[in-house]
Amino acid sequence: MKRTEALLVLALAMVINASAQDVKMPVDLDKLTAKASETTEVTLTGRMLQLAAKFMNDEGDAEAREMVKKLKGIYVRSFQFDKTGEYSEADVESVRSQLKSPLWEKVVGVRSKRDGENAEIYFKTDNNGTQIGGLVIIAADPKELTIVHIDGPLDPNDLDKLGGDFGVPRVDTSARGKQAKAGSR
Amino acid sequence: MVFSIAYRFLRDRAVAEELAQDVFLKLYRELPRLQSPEHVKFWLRKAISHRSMDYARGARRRNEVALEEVHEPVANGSSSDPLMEAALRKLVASLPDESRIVVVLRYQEELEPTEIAHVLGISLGTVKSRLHRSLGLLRQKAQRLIGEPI
Amino acid sequence: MNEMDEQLKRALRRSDPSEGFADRVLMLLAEQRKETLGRERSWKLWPRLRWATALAVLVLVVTGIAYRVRERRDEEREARAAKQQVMLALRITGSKLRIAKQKVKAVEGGEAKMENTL
Repeated sequence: MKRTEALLVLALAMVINASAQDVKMPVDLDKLTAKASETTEVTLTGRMLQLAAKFMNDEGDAEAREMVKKLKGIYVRSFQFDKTGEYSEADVESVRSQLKSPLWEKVVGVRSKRDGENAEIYFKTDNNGTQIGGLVIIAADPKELTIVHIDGPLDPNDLDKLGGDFGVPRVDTSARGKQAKAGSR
Repeated sequence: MVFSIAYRFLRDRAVAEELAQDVFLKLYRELPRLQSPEHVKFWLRKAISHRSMDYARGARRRNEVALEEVHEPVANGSSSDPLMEAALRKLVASLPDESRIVVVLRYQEELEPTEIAHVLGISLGTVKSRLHRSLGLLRQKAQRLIGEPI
Repeated sequence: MNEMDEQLKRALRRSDPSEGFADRVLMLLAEQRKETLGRERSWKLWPRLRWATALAVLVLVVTGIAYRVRERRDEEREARAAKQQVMLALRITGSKLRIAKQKVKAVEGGEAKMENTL
């Protein structure tokens, strides 16, 4: 009975406003699906993530499973287009504008004038400033727009360790120190 | 959350409290089946959404009309245009039930379309098309109200 | 989010019920529990009803087990699909992180412009 009472108190507490996911994939992005030659959409939260983690029992799944178990959400929108100019700066800005709060820090921002490919990586610090509370990647190329949002605690070691089968490279989190402006060709 | 979903959908405080109460009483009986706080949240949203829509259908049959919305106190710094917000709430209330609940779950609960589909037991495509249609309608009506594009 | 989205979020922000709502619900629950306990006591005075109900419960349990087996199979299917999605997401994440890392290296070689993140 104690467990049910605890859950009931929690449910009643939900009568009072609670915080929701802080970075949303704008509904407007969905209109890009009509223009894209290929669209990838992933939305996994709470229960589905836990379910997925329960079944990540194959060889090599262990590290990914431990990371996924702690997450609150994984969101991916990726659009590939046959021609350039199919999405606008406003589409990207609708995500970027949500990352302007002090909790989010841009750790990598690269623009390549030569091939028009841009990459931005944002980390969210948790309350203690000791862990990464979330990750957003915006990869905007002339014929591809990809936005990834991973919501939930990420140990820098998590990102470092996930290599091999998942193709997640060891990330040098000291990239946060790289803030110098370099000239462009 | 529970009261608020019913209130935003029905725009009647008294009825929203009554429905929220019913849902919590039902929750108490269901609790042994529920596995986690996430499951409880999902169950609550589902229950209150369906109860609210059932009530709205019944109210139309009984020719009941919701009380006019009571003026809402504005929290510090949280409202930049109370008149526009009140107007938007009225416009949302004019949407068909099936579209209105999708809009409430999207903008009040900030659920993703896939989560809304799961809560309401409908397809993702249906959620997206109802959202798009509703936003288009709301934009049109809001523009007519204020005379400038949104 | 565009302006309309922001306005809708503000217009539809959560509203609290009247004061004392949670207390009223808890009181009703307490009354409901009293009623349930009362029914359980009178239950002991109806043996024949107990047997019939026990049989009904047995049927429900067996049906419940069959239902749970089916539910478990559905859950496994759902979980496999969720796992595929997780792996896809991680692969995409990894690929984009790798590309960003390459671009950072290219900056060091002077091929691209790195933004001042201050």
